[in-house]
Amino acid sequence: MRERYLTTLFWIPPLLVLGIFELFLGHRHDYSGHYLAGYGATFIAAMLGIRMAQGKMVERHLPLLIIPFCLLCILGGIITESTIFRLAKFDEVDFFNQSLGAVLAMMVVQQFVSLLLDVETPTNPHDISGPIIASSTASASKENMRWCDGGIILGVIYLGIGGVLAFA
Amino acid sequence: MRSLNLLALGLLFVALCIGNLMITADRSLIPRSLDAAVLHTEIKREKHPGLDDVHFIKLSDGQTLHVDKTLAEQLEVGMRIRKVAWQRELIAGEGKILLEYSKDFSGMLWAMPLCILVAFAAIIWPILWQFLSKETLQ
Repeated sequence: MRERYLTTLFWIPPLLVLGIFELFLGHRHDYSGHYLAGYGATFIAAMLGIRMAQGKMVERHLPLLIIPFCLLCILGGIITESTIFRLAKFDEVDFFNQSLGAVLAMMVVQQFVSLLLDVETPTNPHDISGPIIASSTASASKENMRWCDGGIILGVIYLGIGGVLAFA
Repeated sequence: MRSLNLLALGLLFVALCIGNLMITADRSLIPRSLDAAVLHTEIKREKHPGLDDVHFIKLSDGQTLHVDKTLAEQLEVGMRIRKVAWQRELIAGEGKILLEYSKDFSGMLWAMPLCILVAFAAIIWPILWQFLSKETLQ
């Protein structure tokens, strides 16, 4: 059940948006490319971050990092668009499209993180140790790592296709 | 925290979609009010020459504008251009040019609302998934 939920979450939203871009803006594949590259790069970075946070104290604070991380990825897009990818000018449309990808990726990441931090309220009212993180068990942690690895691979695929669409 | 994050991401997504629409509309000059002479026109090449070239016009009021290709091709250096904001008629020298939105803007007009719909689906994904699959996540 969790498998199907995460598979649909990781595949459907980004591919639906790609389909919309290709359907209505098919004369400009570079728009689709920028969107998908923004999605892929953000997804890779986020999944790497979540993977590194597994089993550490920072794991339970991941929801606090979603928005700053998203803004950081958008900033990264601004820097690359105005330096190494700047040809004629800083293209605002390219920037908006790659940022759309970054924001959508972080929406998916937020849903993934919510599932990872699937908390159980302590049954003992005097227990002040806080919520129990699902990934604190070894098998859950292994399973989460597997999803992070899958996410990274998926991100690489999206980034690769995005790069081809943007430059080919 | 999850709801707040998703709300912030949703608002950011909508803002970026609006940005796309505003920029592509602006390149048609339709939203702008103008009264200046064209001092210089320039084409800068991008990744795909002939397809995504960037057309600039430099005006006597100091503005340098990125305009659509079809419009740039009708403008000449020395031509005085005048128009009222949101009107489609551009008085150019002795003649008139009927301004049109580009294919990019027309595409964005359909694509952006649909993208917002997908983003909304991503925001309510757990509810949507449970509704469609009739399975619970817990």
